[in-house]
Amino acid sequence: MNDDRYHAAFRPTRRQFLGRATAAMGGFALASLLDPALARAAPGRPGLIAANPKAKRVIYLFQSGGPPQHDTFDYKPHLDTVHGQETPASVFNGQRLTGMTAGQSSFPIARSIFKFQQHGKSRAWVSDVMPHLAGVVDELCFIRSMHTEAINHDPAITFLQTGFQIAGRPSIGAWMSYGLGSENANLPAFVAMLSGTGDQPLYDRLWGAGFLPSVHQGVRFRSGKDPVLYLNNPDGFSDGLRRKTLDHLGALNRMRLDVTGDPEIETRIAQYEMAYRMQSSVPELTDVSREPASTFELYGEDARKPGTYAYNALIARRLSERGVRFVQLFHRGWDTHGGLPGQLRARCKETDQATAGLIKDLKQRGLLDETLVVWGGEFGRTVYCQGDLAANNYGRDHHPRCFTMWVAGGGFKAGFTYGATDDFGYNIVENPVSVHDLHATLLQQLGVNHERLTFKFQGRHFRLTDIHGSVVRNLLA
Amino acid sequence: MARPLRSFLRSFLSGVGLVWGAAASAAEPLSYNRDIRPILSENCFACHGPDKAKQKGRLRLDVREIATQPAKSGSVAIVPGKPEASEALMRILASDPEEQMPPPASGHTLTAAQKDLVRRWINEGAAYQRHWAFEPIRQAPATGNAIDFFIRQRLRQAGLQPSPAASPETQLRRVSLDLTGLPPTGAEASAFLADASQRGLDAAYEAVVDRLLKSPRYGERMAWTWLEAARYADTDGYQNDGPREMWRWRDWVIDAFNTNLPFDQFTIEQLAGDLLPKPTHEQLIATGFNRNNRYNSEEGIPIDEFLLENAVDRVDTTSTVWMGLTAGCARCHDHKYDPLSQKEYYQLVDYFNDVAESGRATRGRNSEPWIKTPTPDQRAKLATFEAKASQARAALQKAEPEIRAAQQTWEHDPAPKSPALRQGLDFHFAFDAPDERVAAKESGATLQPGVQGTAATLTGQGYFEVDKIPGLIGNGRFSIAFWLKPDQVESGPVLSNEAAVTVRNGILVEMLNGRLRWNINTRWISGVSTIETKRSLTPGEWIHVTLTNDGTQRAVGMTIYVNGEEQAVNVIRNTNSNVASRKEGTALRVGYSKHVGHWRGQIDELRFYTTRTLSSDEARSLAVRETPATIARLAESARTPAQRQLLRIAFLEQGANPAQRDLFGALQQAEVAVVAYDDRLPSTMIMRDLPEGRPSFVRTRGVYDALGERVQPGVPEILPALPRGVKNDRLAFARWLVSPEHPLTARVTVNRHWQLLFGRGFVTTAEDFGAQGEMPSHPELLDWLAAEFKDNGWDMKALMKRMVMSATYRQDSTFTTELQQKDPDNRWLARAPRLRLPGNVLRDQAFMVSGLLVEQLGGPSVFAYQPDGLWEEASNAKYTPGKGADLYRRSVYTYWKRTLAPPTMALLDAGDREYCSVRQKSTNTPLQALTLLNEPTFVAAARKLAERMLTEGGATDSDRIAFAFRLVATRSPKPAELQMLVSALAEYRTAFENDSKTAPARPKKGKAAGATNLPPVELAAATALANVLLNLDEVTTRE
Repeated sequence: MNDDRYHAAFRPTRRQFLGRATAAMGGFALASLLDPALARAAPGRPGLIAANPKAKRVIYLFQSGGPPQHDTFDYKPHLDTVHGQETPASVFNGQRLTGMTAGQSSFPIARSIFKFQQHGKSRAWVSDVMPHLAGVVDELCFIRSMHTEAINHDPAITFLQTGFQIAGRPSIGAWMSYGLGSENANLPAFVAMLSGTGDQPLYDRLWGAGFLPSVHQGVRFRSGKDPVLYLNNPDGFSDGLRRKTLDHLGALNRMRLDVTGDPEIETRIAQYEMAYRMQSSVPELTDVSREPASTFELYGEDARKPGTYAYNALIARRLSERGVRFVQLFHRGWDTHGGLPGQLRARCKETDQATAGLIKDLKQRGLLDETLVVWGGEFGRTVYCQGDLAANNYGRDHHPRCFTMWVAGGGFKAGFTYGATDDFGYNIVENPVSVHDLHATLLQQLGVNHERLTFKFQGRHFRLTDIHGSVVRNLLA
Repeated sequence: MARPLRSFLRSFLSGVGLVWGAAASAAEPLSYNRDIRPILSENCFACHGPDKAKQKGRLRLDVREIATQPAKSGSVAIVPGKPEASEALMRILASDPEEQMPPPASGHTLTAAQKDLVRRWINEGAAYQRHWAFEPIRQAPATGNAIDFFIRQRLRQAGLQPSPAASPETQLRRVSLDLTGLPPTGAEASAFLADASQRGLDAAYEAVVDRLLKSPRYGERMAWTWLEAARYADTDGYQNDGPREMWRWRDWVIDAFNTNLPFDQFTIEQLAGDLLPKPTHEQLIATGFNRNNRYNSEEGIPIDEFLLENAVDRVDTTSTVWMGLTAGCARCHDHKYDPLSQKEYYQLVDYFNDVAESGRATRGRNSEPWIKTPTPDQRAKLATFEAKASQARAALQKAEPEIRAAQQTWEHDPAPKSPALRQGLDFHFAFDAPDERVAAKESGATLQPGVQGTAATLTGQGYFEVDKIPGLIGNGRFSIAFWLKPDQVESGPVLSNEAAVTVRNGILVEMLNGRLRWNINTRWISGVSTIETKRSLTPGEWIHVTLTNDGTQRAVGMTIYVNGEEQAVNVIRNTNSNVASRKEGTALRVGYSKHVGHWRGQIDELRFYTTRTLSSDEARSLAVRETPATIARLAESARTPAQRQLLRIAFLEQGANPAQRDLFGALQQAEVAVVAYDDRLPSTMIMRDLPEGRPSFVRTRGVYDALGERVQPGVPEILPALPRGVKNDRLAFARWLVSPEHPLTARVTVNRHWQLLFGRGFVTTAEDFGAQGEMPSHPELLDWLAAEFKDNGWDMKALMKRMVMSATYRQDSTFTTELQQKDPDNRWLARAPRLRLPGNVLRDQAFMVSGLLVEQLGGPSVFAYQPDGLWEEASNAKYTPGKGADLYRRSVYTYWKRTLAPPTMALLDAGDREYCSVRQKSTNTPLQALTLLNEPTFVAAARKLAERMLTEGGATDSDRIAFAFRLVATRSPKPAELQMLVSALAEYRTAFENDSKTAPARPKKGKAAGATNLPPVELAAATALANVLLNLDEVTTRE
């Protein structure tokens, strides 16, 4: 009746239980229900995961709003020579513009104000706005030839997150939870964390389950007293009292189970027990006070402050260590229509050290090999200036035709740059990678064939990659 | 290479065929619909089905005539009666990957049993059937209660017996929760049991059902699922997710269920109420159904893309809700499983593609088209405001003789101060004398003789800069009036306060191609409303212009008057969807805009009313060229009506005595009050089509700007045709849905009602009655009920009553070992299902049993409790929880922000309001446990339940516990349960006594405030116990 994966975990127990019919429900059955080994077995889709997948989990650092590729990773020296000139029609090539700049009478080219240098053994170009990241480029696989179909935030971010522009499909993390299952019985398989401010809001559905069972929806971890909604007992309820009430609740529910024989009651008892375990596992997880000083040297002092990107990055590592499949950070404020230099500096100040710190930290813990770290936004930005081009100030509009993302770990090539754009950073000239391709490649590294990760809904077998996507083998080590 | 393989298979087949046949010999003859179509649909139709573009080898397996025809190669896919000659079967059985069907890469394979079924079916003659759901509804005869008749018939086939009736208490709790979404009260339970012992259980039960169906709570309960189907929310969705106002539609739904509006009418009014002859206010509100879709207000969206998305959402939702068709699958290509072509899809789109909407939502309020929808109370209140204005008008009229006399005296020496018509006149520039507010910029801006005195005169070089004028914004009422003599009419800015940046926020009044054009701009060019006069202006003539805006951010809210006459206008842009602040805009310039350049001509007597929308009368008065003093010198008989009116206003403003001025002031105030109240009235988005419609095209691959063939509205060929001779519009479509011949609407609707009561429909895929959907478990019963429903007035309450009166519904829900083995999913209903209560019912129930529930039918959505920061961390929206009663209203009234749903509802499996959902999810997660244990309003409910327990429950622990238990479970606890709860309470008491500091704090204010006379430890212990009770599986379940 219920195809919930969590239930699947308990089904054998339920069957056993019914075999025992309603015979004395003593300590034995309870013990088996509470055995973490049983609860642990929240498997993915049987037979779906290849043997020995390269990666076991994902940390996705979503930079919401659309970071500007010209000012970060996609170095375009040609722009210095054409700065302020009209963007040539040959570059536009019939491209549609957003309604924000479609009314502009002029499209002057804006060079980047930031200085670019090559870094590491891999000689990767990074602008001086990300000094920390520049130090770890040899771990990163840059994809300069990402492209998307959407030109506005909601469809674009929905596309990156669900493989489809219109709301209603499961998010990538929900697909992972559904397909790969959970490695830790005391924590959800998919955790989402938010930071930053800005005009571009985020939506529940970005970590939602769509038509998948709700258990796969991302659990939003928050700063503050309740890192997970309603985690704490009401004021005045001690842990000991909560334990007592759960014992009584469990005993009464088992009496009802005797009367009704409904195996669902057993599942329910188990969920209350898991809730209880989360009440201790989550605070332990989110308490960073016992992290050594070296941790904060890596991630920055912000990592002590719940709610910051740096703190979330540190929690992401702690979640990954504990086997959480998919951790996704969303940092707002990358939508640099105007005042780009100032905004970009601010975003990088908030994120650069922690991002680089996370990579180093995973590496030194030996986790980077089996963890995919993904960095990127929902689209790129235009080469031409939105608004008024000033000596030290400019803005860039949305640009779907190309943008840069990077992936680290999990069997992606390290210190590698893939794809290329034209001299204007406007059109891809080499090795385009679509959003579906990226999804397919990430799944591949997790041991999953993207065409086989399906869920039947409304008569159709839906996939994260819709009906598209190919694994980009050249990205893989 | 293929040949030997096939011959091998043939010999293999003839050998094993016997064995298979023997194995299956006990089975009944195969049915294509039941046994074969699901296999072919799942595995074959994607490439050999209805989608013309994807048909491989021109083979279709869904059409018998094609499947049994020889292909070019000579082979025949299906040879009836000859499995071994049937190429399709050979390929299905093949093991060579080159030969094998479906191809290994497809990921599809048939099981051995499925292969055997296909073989048997071909052997039996390969009979096809039309898909069952497209066949006419036929009512098979039944004896006795038809539901029980068909259910028991199927149970007998499965070798099962129905369960005995559930206990009276269980029946009462079940039917109360199902029909009203609330559990019975203790008094209702006692009354029911007393009635049952007096008149018998059946009579008492029926009386309860009738009572519940009459209760207004029934409408609230039924509305919830309809709201989920209708993707109702209080915000727009998409990125900005701004507020909208649709609660009047929600209340219409509640009311329609309560008044038992027949489902055919319910359908017609919601889908096409606007096209009914002389639609009522309520029928227009009903059409909000198809305005509940998400609507994007993001800056910079391609308008055509979102016009299409809106229409597509309407088609997909309407198809799912009424027809159980996954029409959306045909958006990009022909449907792969069902006979719906892409062209037919866009024919459906055309019914919903004419809405007079701009394509970009208004960011902070309802988007066009909408109407004001006051409630009856509000309408009455508006009438009292209007009556006050009438009284003030009458009082002024009564004083007419004295006023007239006084005015005549005054006219001898009026010496009126210019200007007249001063109400709300915040700025007036006469351009007559040096004025420190007016600066001539550059040369070419001078004062030359004008209409009255001198006028601002521009030669195409300089310009005048006057004050910064606040409030010239789309979302505020304002008016501008001036005299204008254009020397240049082909182009040029007349007035502008646009910002210098490319966003250009501000207003622009300009000449363009001879016409007067007016923009209100928040963001160029994605957020602009622009209208222009249809007629051209003549250079060199003085004309008077009045521009008024009604503050609704719509082009239709903007009016241009020329010489006092309202002008016919063209709407050039209508996307001014951003809310602007009154402070916006820079200094106002006459004759210049940075973005447009300079202009030649004259402007005089420039007025700004920054908070008022002038009336047409006022516009006419302003267009009087003479000053009041000049008019006063004319003979009365020589004055035009407009002159008379202006002079009267000037007198009342300047010459009247205090008493007369008071009368005039009272009228002005009363009129302002009417407008102010009217501005606050709720509105509702409705369906209203553009008179000229909007052409519809097939969109290649579903992409908005890839226009294919143009299409006209039409219904899919597989379904009955529209009646001849009717206008083929949305109304015809709605009527067609509920026509007696339609095979889907009644089935789909009955199925959803059954699902509401049994947790699952006959067709478990309530959203998909097509080839990929599940077959109905009880096709005869589904049809019987569907026929009964449509043939007897589409009576929803009668349908619900019929279902809940059946023995099938009323039976016990206990699982037995036999049932668990023979029918673990309870498909044949040998017992009643045990269903998890939906989140909204759980919340409402907790409020009800604790006494917190505030029952109030309808009204604006309320801001229920939610933890701080949930909105703020993800968006720029701020959440302020409601106060007092608002916190304890039924969940159906909870404010629903589409992109950040109420967290408790989202955790407890409520449907996503982003899109249509017709099937409830039911999952079981630890987060749900945490919610029911710790969410503050559930905790408040536990505390109030504890108070009831202590104050109403008797003197002893066991009395009190039994009382509370009965409240939550509608039955008395069994001895073992009572014993455990009594000892639990004792333990909690000890725990709190040992550490009295831990007793929960009690709120001192508000509805959930603690009763102060109860001992803290007792209340704390009872609260812990109530927390347990509210979390009991039985309490969170409908047994």
